[in-house]
Amino acid sequence: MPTLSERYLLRDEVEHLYAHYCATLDDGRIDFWPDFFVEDGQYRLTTRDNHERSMPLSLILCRGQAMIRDRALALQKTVMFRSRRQRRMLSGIHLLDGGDVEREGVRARTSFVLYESLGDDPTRVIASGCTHDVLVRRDGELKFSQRLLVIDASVMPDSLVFPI
Amino acid sequence: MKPSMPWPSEGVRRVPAVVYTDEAIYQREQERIFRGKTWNYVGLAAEVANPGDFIQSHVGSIPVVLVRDREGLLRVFVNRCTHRNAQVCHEQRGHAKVFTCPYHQWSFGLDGRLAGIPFRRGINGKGGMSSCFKAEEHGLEPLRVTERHGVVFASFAEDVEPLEAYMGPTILAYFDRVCDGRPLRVIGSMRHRVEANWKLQIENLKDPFHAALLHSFFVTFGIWRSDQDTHVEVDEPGRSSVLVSTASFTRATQSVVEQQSDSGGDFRLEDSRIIAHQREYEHGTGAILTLWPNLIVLQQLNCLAMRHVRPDGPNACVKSWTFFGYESDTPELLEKRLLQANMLGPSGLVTIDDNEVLAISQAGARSAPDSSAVLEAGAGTGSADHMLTESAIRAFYQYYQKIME
Repeated sequence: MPTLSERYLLRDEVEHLYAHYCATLDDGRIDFWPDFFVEDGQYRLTTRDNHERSMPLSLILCRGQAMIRDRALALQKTVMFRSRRQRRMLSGIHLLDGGDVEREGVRARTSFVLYESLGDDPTRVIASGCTHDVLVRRDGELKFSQRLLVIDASVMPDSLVFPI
Repeated sequence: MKPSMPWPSEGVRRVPAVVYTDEAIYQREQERIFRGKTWNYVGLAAEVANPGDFIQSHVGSIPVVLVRDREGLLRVFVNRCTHRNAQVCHEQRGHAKVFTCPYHQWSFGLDGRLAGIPFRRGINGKGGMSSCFKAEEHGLEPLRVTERHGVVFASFAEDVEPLEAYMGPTILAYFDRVCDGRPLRVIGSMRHRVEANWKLQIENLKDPFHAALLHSFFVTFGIWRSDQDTHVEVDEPGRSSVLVSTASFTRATQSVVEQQSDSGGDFRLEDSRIIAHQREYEHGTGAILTLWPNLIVLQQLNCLAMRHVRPDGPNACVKSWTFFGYESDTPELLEKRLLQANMLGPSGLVTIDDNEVLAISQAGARSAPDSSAVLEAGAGTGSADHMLTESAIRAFYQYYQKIME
């Protein structure tokens, strides 16, 4: 059983990871996105509609850091899109009891909103939803071993170019 | 007022911008095309497997409900209470015994009949429905329904030809190539709204030229490229077509790369599972069928999807993708379908390109309503054994003009 101060320290570390993750992607540094995952880390983004029906389809499915690197590179090298600014709001970090951050990892649940500003248009909400994450400490640093993002809406207002 | 269809003298080698932007033309499309003699995709039979199962869908911009009735028959109704117009179905999908309008609780059976009205005879002999009211005249508005190999279509027209004749032999053969009668299994859906007229999305899948220029991801990995074995098949009326391509999975030769302004260069996948293909069909590794008016039957490597393009006013459409496989799929094949789906949909490494060019094409059309798009690649409106033609788009507009005049 971790002590209260250990729990506070872990919580601080987790908050730092999420803040760093969001700031990196908001700054457009998709090239650093893979660094937040462990080698066999999974990234999966789907809709609540698919998730609640246990449909296996995802909007983004990366099995392993290599696939995450491939997506990051593909977005930089082969995909055409208008430049845009994104802003990720993340809140309600809820650490679930039980997991060991040094071993199988700590489970976390969070809520998010993604805003996007494109061209002359006013800022709009692209997605809101929740995440089911697993965080592990590797070589002294917290990383994601799993990110499952579930978008609330079944219809996206447009493309979701960069990962949430 | 009859909207004008101001086609330039070049005929179908031009497409006037107003067909993408004009409200009156949009309304005429709803009447002439979607309420006309067309078979409109509404869903897969597997989505309504049991009596009482329903899903919401659309025919053109009109909301409809696809439901399996107590006898197991597929029914499609307009989602509108015949009393005061409120929608009777509010869930995207589910299971129901009756559809009850929340406003005055008119309830409709799964066969669409008006089955119950509260206070029909009033209270204590006072009020209630008039003596001339006939419940049998007020069922939900039904559409004609047909199904082929697990795919369900509906029509407002009484006199639409049978689906097989509507498709014609060429299109039917490609439809049956994927939907061959094996039970289909839905694996999930993606939906997104794009600020582009619905026809721009349909044209996009009749335009083999763009695939090898815009889609660097396809080009880089040899999935869809202008130097590969490709053909375009157009049906007799010109309204439906299919693009067929055979992936080489080899990297582009220097001459192709030089034509490509921003090809992926030396980009290589570290984990090539997202394009790892298991051969399932003869004739091409990808066959993309556009069925008049607004269904795309997509087979790209192991990804199978019904992509339904719902018009949402002249300036937008909602792309609704239903991904599927077969009940008989091995876990390995299902995994391939799931990983390859990374290329498609709102976050698709290939589809994002299309979403973006469609939106900027719509913006351009809106800015210049007197302009016309130019379709001068190749000639005529027939089939071709190469990619460098716009014949399938010309064929589409030849038929479109005929229906809209």
